[in-house]
Amino acid sequence: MSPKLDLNQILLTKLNSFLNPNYVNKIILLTFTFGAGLIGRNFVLDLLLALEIITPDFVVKLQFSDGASNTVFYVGVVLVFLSLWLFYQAHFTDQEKSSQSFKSLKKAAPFLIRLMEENERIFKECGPNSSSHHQDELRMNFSVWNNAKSEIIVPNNDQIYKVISTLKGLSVGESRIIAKMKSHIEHFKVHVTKGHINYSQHQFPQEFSDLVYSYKKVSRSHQKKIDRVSSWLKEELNIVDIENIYLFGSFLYNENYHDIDVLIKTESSTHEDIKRVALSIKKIKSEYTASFGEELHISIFSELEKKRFLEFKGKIRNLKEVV
Amino acid sequence: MGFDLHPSILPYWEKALNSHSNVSSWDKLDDSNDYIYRIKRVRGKDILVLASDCYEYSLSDFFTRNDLIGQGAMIYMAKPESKYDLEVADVAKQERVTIGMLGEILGALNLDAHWNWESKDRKERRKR
Repeated sequence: MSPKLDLNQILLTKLNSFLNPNYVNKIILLTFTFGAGLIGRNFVLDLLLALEIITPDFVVKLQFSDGASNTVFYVGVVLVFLSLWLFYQAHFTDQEKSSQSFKSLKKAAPFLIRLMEENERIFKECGPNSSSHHQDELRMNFSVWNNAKSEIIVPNNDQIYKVISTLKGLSVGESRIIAKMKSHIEHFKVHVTKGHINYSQHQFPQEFSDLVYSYKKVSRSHQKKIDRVSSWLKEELNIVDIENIYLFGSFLYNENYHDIDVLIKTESSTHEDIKRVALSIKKIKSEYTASFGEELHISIFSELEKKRFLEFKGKIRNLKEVV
Repeated sequence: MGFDLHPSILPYWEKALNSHSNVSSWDKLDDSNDYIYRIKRVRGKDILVLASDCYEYSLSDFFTRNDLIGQGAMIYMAKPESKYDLEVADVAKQERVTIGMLGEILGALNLDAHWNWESKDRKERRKR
């Protein structure tokens, strides 16, 4: 490994420990050690300050008492108990909370969003990024990522799993998506414990995130933005062949959206027409990026692909009709 | 078309290329619209592969594809949940372009006229 790579690894590990501090355990350990030290100090002093000389003729017994020793001893005991209590609060109370059951997915949404946001943050900061020209850095990134997976993401996933396993009264659509999420968590855990297991066919289902976030009310400013994008699309995509335009995906309910998903159905039924309309849409897409600095992720279906369009549309839980 | 891929997808794809018996080396082109890989093969000509971020690869996507994806190129459906219709695969075949999921692309990399090859999965889809 090159010196540059060593330095990068150290910096990344430091960054990881800064972003994901484990101060709680450190404070608990310090409290326990200090308390145990104070208790131990009393015994050591008692041993050192007690002198006994025993002969056949006489016995000399010297005992010095330390006025403060009792206070110090009790402070030590209090600190040890305090550290044990903190340990219980930090490691067992959370588990009890996570095993609580929610009446519906909607009620569980804030709890799940908190865990998913932490996972997402870890994934974005430590997750594998494609760096084809720097294979060594790719390996180094993986070592930080591997640690974050087992220390943070898997425990968070365990909590998500417990919650979604106890939900009742789910709709068919919710059940299907939750089954996918459970499958992802199971495969991800096996992948983490047995690194060579491939879970690419069981990656995090975006549908689950969309579903959970759909229960979160968006802010007024974000709602205005949705309306603004919707109006812009309606005005700019005023092309004869366009039958329907929908917005879908995270943009509708997550202010930290990655891009804006748009679904378009056209009436084009010849290859020439499909190409002509698609080129017009592509041009408008570029104009949007140039004007707003954001990407539109457009899925277009022609009349020839109507069946696929209906299947695709049927799988989307939340759609906002633009046209 | 774009870069909307889960960050774990391309490292996995690159790892698959590294262990492919007919890939001698590869590099990623500096393209502002798509992820495009130039693959040097042990046997056969170099191939350009576009890693698509489409949920569903449609005729519109094919007709407005990146200009670099001409005859002999491949379109890899990089999202595991993505799909493509047989009709678009047939249109692509006429232009000597292969569209496929990971297994299909890795299999097709062994062939010269890869656009003529059909995976077992695709043959079964045709029967349905």
